[in-house]
Amino acid sequence: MNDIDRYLDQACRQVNGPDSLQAHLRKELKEHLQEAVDALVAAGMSTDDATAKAIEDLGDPEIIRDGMQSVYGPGVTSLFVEQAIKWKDRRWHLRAQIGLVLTIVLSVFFVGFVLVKVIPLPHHLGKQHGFAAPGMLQPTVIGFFSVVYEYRYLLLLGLAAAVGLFEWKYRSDNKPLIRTSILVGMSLVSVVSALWVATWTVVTLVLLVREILPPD
Amino acid sequence: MDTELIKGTLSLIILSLLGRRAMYGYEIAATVKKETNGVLEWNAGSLYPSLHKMEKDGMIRGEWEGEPDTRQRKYYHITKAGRSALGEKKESWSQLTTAITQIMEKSK
Repeated sequence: MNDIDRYLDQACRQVNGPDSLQAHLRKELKEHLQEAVDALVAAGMSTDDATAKAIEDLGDPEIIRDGMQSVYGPGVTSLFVEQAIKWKDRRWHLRAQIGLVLTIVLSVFFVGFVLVKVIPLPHHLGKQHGFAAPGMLQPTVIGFFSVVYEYRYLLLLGLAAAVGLFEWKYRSDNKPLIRTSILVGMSLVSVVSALWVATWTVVTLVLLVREILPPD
Repeated sequence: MDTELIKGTLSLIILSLLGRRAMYGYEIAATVKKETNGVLEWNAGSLYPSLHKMEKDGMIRGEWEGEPDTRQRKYYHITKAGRSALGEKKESWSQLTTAITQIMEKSK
């Protein structure tokens, strides 16, 4: 992302209205900047200096955004985003991100433990004690995670590639906020998945025990 | 120059310029800078929101011109309501400057 795009992001974000309005504002301001850069370059300035001067002349992007918000109103999520931007403090983000990553890792390990250790348990018990153990609710509940487990290395590779691409290519002042938001989403999915697996494991184990143990 | 003073006259300046012919944002800013020898120079922080406010109020009308694959510019045209507002603003401006000049001359 170059300086002009970064400037346009700051000037056009959180203006109420359809995406087409923001695209329209962006296009108009970009046209202004390009026009200014062309004029300065024609006057003998280097492209980099001309870009910096054009941006400086256009003024504080927050003033443009505030002005546009006074015309069209602030974006619906403006309050949340503004609040979140206040949390841009690196230390806050770092702590939050470490906590979220730990949550995801613990959830993944738990699901993995259930898949590898708990699911085959009835089969082993049946073998040891000489009875035919009924299967757990594996196909309906755990099926999805079994597929994930089977392709774990491929998925990890894909995840690493996506993270690498994001860290390498994405340039924005809101990068820590976006990183935290993605981790919040992932940790929610992982925690819900772990709870889901835990609930069904308990239910099926109870059913299994009732089936194995002779009635009083 | 006092930017607050310029802000108050922004719509009058914009309507006056568009009263001549349709112009796009950069052209408006450049024309004002050139014709006032740089005395009146504001940044887009004031210009573009003002243009959009006036467009919303029906004083001016913006139209993208130029082929899609070439450079496109949004030209602003003054509307009938804009011309009427321009007449009123010119009258008010004339009265204001006369009054201020009189005060300043008597204060010498």
